[in-house]
Amino acid sequence: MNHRTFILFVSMMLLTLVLYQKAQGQQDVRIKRRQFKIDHKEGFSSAWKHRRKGDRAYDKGYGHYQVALSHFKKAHDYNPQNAALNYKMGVCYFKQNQLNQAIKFFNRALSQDEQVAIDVYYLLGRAYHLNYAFDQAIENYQRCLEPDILEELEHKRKTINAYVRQCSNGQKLVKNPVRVNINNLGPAVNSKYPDYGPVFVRGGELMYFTSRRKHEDNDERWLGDNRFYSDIYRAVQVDGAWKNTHLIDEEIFSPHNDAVVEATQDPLRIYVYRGQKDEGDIYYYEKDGDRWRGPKNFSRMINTNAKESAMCFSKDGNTLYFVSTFEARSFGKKDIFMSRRDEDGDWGRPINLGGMVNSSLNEEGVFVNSTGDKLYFSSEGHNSMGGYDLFVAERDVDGNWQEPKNLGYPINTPFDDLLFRKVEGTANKAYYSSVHDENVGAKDIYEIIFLGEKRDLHYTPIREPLAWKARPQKEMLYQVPQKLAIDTTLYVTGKIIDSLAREGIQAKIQVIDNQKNKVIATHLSDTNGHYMLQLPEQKKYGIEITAQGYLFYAHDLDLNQAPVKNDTLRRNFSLDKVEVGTKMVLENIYFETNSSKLKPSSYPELKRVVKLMQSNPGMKLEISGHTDDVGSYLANKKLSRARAKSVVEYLAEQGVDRARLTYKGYSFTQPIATNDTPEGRQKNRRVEFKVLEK
Amino acid sequence: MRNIFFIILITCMSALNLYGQKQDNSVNELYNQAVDQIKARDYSQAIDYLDAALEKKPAFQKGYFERGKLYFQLDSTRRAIRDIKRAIDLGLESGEAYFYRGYLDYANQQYDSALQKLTRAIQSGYKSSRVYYIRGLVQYALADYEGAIMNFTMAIDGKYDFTYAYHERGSAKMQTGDIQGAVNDFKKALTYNNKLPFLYNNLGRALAENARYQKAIEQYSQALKLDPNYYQAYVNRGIARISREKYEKAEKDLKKAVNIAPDQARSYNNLGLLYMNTRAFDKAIEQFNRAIEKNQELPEAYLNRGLARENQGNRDKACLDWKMAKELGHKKAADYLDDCD
Repeated sequence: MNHRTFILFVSMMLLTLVLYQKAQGQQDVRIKRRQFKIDHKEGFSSAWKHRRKGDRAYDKGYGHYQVALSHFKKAHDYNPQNAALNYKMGVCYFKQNQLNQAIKFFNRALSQDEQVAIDVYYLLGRAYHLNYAFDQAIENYQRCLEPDILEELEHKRKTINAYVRQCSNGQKLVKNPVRVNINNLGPAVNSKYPDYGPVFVRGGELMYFTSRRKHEDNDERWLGDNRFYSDIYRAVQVDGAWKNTHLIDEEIFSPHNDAVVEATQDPLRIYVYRGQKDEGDIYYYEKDGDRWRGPKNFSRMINTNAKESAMCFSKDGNTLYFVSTFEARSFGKKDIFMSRRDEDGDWGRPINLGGMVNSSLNEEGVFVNSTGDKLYFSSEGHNSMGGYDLFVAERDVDGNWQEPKNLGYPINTPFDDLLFRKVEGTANKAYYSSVHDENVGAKDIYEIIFLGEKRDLHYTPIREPLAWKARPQKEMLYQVPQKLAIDTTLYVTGKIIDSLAREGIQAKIQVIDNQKNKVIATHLSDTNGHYMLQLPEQKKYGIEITAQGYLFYAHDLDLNQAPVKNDTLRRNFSLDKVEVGTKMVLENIYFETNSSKLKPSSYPELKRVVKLMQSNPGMKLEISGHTDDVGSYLANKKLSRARAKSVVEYLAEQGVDRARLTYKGYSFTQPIATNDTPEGRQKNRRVEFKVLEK
Repeated sequence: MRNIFFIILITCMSALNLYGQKQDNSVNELYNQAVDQIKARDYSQAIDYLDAALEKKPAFQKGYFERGKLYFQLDSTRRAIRDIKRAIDLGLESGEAYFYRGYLDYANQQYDSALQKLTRAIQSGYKSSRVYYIRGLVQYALADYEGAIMNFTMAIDGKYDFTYAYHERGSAKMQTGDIQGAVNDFKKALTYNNKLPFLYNNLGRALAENARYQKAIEQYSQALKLDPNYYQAYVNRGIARISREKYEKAEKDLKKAVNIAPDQARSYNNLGLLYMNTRAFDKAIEQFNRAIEKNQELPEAYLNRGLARENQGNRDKACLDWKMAKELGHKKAADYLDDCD
């Protein structure tokens, strides 16, 4: 009979089934056949068989709940209304940490039978508590404290009250989460069984940890909790990833519950809790070449007949912090102690760290930082939110430990948060064992990364703040310029001369804008007849020149046709002196077709004649009409005479004494140009006057 | 003798005067032909005419000024500045000339000088909407956002449908924290021109600033309808989708932005932040590395990479990144370094 079989045998002898059930934490509830069977419904026999198989697995406790559940589910298919079955299914889910399902089935059982089990409120409270639903947890815990239930659960009164306090702590802690990342070390390290208690050597590259996983030399369960025995494993970190996880060398392997609690680099030692005798003591192994030498009892001063389960050295190795259940010196069941190494290298008498650190409940897993002024540990007391929470106590200047502070949510959970370790040189990183959503197994090893103050992420949205920058529209700024005025001024210069004497005479020159029928310039030539006219643009103007004792000159001057050079037209004008017998063709005299009626356009020229006569009061004129040779002589004679008469009539109307005017029609007898061309005939159709007296 | 001299002098002066007038005419004719070309939008031909005019009359102020304006339209800023300055040096007293000098100073980021010249343009009676608009831009550049808002308002008063002025006023309001005012102005700008993608983009940004992410996403989508390659809108929509925890769609947007503009560091930075949100710190760092590779002076990428590294427990490297961000002038970096040794 090996050691493990022996333990099993003894345990079976000692523990009754009832006690065993109590150890598992739930009540023995029977599913009664009478209540389970549904009249006239087929399938009872099979369902009942599954109920029985389920109960059998259920009664075995941890490790068997999944099997129990698979049978209960089949029974449930037959009768989902059975409160006891639903309760048991709730328990199965609860024990497997499937809390939402547990809550669902406990509530269902309660709705079917409020008295299904005396601990149903308690378990429902636990499920809510572990699921962070602190309000509902408190509600259910408080229901347990009501007299009808408390009567049966009196032995749990202290525990329930503690849970209520923990829920209250949890409410506060969850409201103020600390800034950390909690990373599961992943399946390379964690198994589906509990994994915990990492310690480090080689600057954090080599990790030893404890696991309760099943392996070929470990296929039996420890009766204490029906889980597999614990053994020590190792893993190495390569480029930030944990690899090569395997069971530690066989020299260290034992048939007991082994757990690594500390390791040192120089000399390379691992310190092992071994649950062999006295509830468990600490031993160590030292590496000698390729082999581990040991186990050696760590210290008779430290290892007592109580359980010593965790330890940590100060950086210099001369101070030891450890956990012991040594009752005579404890505040609670398990407390943290300190011991100093004396000059001979022996450990001194352990000192309890005192009531500031140790609560009335259990403490576990101790770690001191490299400067020795911060002590990390787990406690069920203080302001834990459930199970063991991690705390840190700081030492004041006098060396006294101050009130521990909860490391906060999400480091701490309503589950056990244990065995905190830091690797020297990585100030913002630590490791511990806990239960989170990411769990690979029942308890996993996690990395904690402590983050600084809350930081915003720095997005770089792209706003184009100015439309002008995004899409400049220069056209928007552009104004098309106005054209500049062009100076079109022309100059007409020359001399006014006597037509016979060819000498210059002073004369008045008027320039008429024919389009506007308006005098636009008046100029007086000098006594030598020189003149210069400034005309605004190159077009046809009317020019009228008058001089005392001379007949007027009135003609158009078309600058577009004239030989303009360098904006200047040189032009002399000759005037005929007023002499008896002098003739002058009146330009610009127009009649209606085949009529003697004057057109108004003739009036300017006729007015010039009026002026001439006014400035020469003794002057008498003969007004004569002339035609071309088209038509008969007599008809042309009549027309030319009538037209001459019309001119005389107009002049008379303008105030010229009729006695000074005579008129005659000469038909085509006095041509001044050929009648063979239209231009010649045009010239021959005219009105002229002849000076009769001056 | 004196009379003869006087007559000769007068004759010469008249001749000179005539020559001058004749020359001005030919210069003005060339200028007018340039104007015809400007109206026909043939700016190069217009410049040729002005060149010819200036060859005939090297002191032709308006010739320089209009040629400068044309160079400005053709993006030949240095030539534009030279010509417009020459026109002013030759005595051209024109509000429009000061306006252009002011604008060109603004374009050259000489904001104080720009402000002076634009103010002078206004003082000389050139009170067009455009001068207030550009003065608003200058004040925006000088971070005088209240002044900018006032000028953009004056520009709008003179031109009620001045889309750009509404938009810029909205941007200035964003800077003063008047987000709702900005939203209103961007919307107003859109009522006068709903074909400009950046108007939707910026309206989206303002809405996102007010945490109206869904509305913002709608605006970015409008921008993308108008311009399916508008990577800025992809970036912003991606960010808005991160805020709404629509990570898959956000990743699509941000990756699209990267595809369209692979050299834009900001896209990688935001893609990195998406991965930060999904706690994929390795992937996030990869993107921040790319952002830094594209733009070594993007402080946000260093800050964010530092945060990713901090999240991975690598505080030392995080501190190096934050130090770099501080050197690059990011205001928040100094706070981060408080946690570093």
